[in-house]
Parts: sequence; structure tokens; C-alpha cells
Amino acid sequence: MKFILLLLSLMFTSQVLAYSNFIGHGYTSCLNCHYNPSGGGPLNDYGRVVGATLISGRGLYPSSWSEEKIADSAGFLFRKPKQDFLRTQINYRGFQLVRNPGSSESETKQWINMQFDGRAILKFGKNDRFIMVGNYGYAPRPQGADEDISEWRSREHYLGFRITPKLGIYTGLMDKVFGIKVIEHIAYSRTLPQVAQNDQVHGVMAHYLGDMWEMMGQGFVGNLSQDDDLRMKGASLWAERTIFDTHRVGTSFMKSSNQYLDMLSYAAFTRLNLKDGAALLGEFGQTVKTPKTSDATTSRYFLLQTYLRPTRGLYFLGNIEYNQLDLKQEDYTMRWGPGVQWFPMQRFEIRLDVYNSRTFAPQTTTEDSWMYLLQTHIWL
Amino acid sequence: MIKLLPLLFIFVSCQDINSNSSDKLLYGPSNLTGSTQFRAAFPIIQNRCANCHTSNIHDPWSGYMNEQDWADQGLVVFGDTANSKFITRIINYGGGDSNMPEGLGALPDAEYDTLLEWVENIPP
Repeated sequence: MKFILLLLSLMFTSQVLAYSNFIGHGYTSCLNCHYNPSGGGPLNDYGRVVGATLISGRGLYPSSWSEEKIADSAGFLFRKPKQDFLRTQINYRGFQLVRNPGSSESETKQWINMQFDGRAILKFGKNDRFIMVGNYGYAPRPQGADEDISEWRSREHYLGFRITPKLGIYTGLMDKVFGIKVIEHIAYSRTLPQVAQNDQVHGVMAHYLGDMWEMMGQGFVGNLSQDDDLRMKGASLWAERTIFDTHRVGTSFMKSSNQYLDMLSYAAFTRLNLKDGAALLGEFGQTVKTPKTSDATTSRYFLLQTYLRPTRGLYFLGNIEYNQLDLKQEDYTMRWGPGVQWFPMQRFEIRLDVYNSRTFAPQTTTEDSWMYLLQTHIWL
Repeated sequence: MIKLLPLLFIFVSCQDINSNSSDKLLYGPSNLTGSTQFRAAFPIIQNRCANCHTSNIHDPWSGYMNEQDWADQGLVVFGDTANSKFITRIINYGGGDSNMPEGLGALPDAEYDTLLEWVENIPP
């Protein structure tokens, strides 16, 4: 235990995070577990140790292993790093997607290798003051896309420099900073503002981490590998404030445009610590899309997620989403469902999500649609 | 550090599909080819379907600029609406999984008829 406390004390100030819901463990900021302060991408040494000794179960480890030994094995390929300047990681996610389960007419099953990344991080200085991050890997070719479209892409590559422990500057290809970065990239809160799995942009981001406030501002010029007319250029602002010591409330704005479309998105969100790993996440937002040649359409969404942690390594999820694509129409969709997230040991996650979708329209009735995802996540 | 910045832009992505890949199709000048019925149906597809069927996470239709593309993807069967997935998935027309366009409710009758007319008259 002394080793863990020593390691934690050597890292940044107070808190850790891997998924947004880990605020339920009392951790508020993404920075301490991720190199990217907006979360996502490779975990730093601290995040790996926390993943091993707090988040994941220990049932698959030999019972004789102490927490210190588990922490020592948290590095790449179960090794404790022998140097400070280079870290490597491998990350895989795949899932079985079943639509209309149980239907003799319309059940479909599909295995999708969603992500298979190799990551390398060069870091120098006290508390990893200067970092270079590269994250390259497999990205499935969309169904029906041309065969000559590559199945490999850079998910992120950027430089980061902490001017002070509170202030950092990052530049390169990164996720757009907006809202709660929930892991479900099909969530309406990610698809409507266009901050989904492959929506990274080249730009510059400033990050401030104060005692009560955490803020990010980002200017971006789109993904430079895209044709210039499609690149979304713009800026976003993100701010969260700690309330009652362990909860967060926040807001985001993002304005962007390319040759065909202007977009404005704004959201308010909260992450509440319900203690002992339990958490509640909520986000409400709207996106205004204005094509250059036609009128604007405003979409509205909300997201509510609950997490309960009955035992170490196991989380029960509840997910409720609302999506109204066009506020000028009355039609809207609700999607909800339970889920289970299990970390039997560090490096291994199994997750089941069930989704029920129902569209509400004044003139028609429609049958519900059902699907479930059984996801495997392995990181080395 | 400033001297290193240009290095970042060497490492650009290989696959570049993202949420904006279909903006030219959706909002740019049209370059459609095909039958009169297809060109009548396409604006409905743009308005009712493309909001979801363009992103990389959900069966993108952005490249289907003529009728053969739609047939090649198994979405339509020439002259056969009952076996055209594109039609049978429309709310209140097909079987239990007819829930499209998800989030927008059922199509107005006129739009629905335009889509039917297109598939019924696709030249083989």
C-alpha cells in the first residue's frame, strides 16, 4: 500500500479518471489518468495503476498477490517500466452487435472489430511536463464504402506542454472538446454535435486545471487528411466546476463550419458522485445545423446515465437518451436500456449494453426496436 | 517546441471518413445521375435518411449516386418493392423491424409514394 500511495502522490494533484463515470470514485479530472486532459486515448502510469488496484477486480490474480504486486504489473506487457521517457500500449475493442434479438424474421448478428490501436508516448520532464503522443490503428471500413478506402488511421497525434501544473498547451490531431466524453460513440450526445469516434481535428488546445474550475479552449482547422472543403474549422469551449467537493457541473459551446455547413452546438452537463463507485451523468444539448444553401435545423438531445458498483470490478449501468432531430417537428426518439460493465482484471473489460428505441410521432405508431452489444476491450 | 510543430502535420490520417464526409452530398451542388424517379426520390432520401445514413457508424449511403449503386448494396431490387430492404424498413410498410426513419416518424404519403414509384420503375 505504501508503494501505491507513494506513486499516487508523485503524480498530479488529486484525482483520476478513465471513464467519465469514475467520478463515482471521487475523481473529477481526466488529466491524472490520461495524457490528454479531455480524456480518451492512452492511460498514463497513474491511470494504469488505478485501473489495476481500484477499478478492476482481482479475482483472476493469484490470491497471494498483494496490491503492490498488482500495481507493479500494471505496465505494458505486465512489466514495470525501466525508463521514464517512453510508454507503449496496445488497445483492442470489438463487439457483437445483435439487432432485433429473438426475431425469426429480422434478427441480425454482426461482429465488429471497432478499434485496434498501437500507441506510443514520449515524455520528458517532471510530472511528464512535455509529451508526444501517437495513436495509430485499425478503423473498420464503413459498410458499403469503396474498397480502396484505408482501414487504418491516426486516431490522435499531438504534442503537449504543461507550462505550469495548472496550465497546459496541446497541439496536433485530437478529439474536439465538447460535453461529456462518454464511451458510447453512438450516443446522441456525441453524434449530433459531431464529436464521435472519428471526428478528431487538428488544432491547438489550452487546458486549465484549478482548484474549483477546469477549463479547455480549442481552436481547430479540421482533419487535414480530409479534402479542404469538408474540414470543419472552428473553436470550442468547455468548462466544469467542482461543487460540494466531489461533483461537477459544466457547459460547452462549439462553433464550426466547412464549405457547405455551419454548426453551432451548446450543452450543459453534470457528473455526480454517488459514492463507492456509483455515479450519475447528465447532459442536455442542442445543435443548430445551417447549410449554406438552406434553412437551419435545430436538434435537441439529452443523456442520463447511472452507474452502480456492487463490487470491485463490476458496474451496473442505466442509460436513457432523448433525440429530437428537428424542433420544428414533434417527432422524437427515446432510447434506453441497462448494461453491465465488468473488469475481471486490469487490461480486460467485458460489457453488455441493451438498447430499446421508440419513436414518438403524433400521427403514427411504430414498433420498438431492440439491439444489444456485447463488447470486449483488451489493453496491454 | 515551436520548431517541432510542423512535424505534427506530417502524421495525417490515412482513413479520413468522419461525420462531415457527406456534407458535399448533403448540402453541396447535386451531381446525380439516373432516372427521373430517382432524382425525385433523392431529395427525400437526403431529408429523411441522410442525417444518420452518412456517418461512418451507420450504413453510409453517401456514395450511392445512381440506381445501380443502390442495387449493388442490396437496398433495392429492381421493380420489386416487397423485396427491397430500402422500402420494407420504412415505418408501417414492412415487417417487425420497419422503424425507419428512426427519430422522424412515418413519411408523409406523398413522399412515400415517390419512393415506391422509384423502386417500382428502376430500369433493370
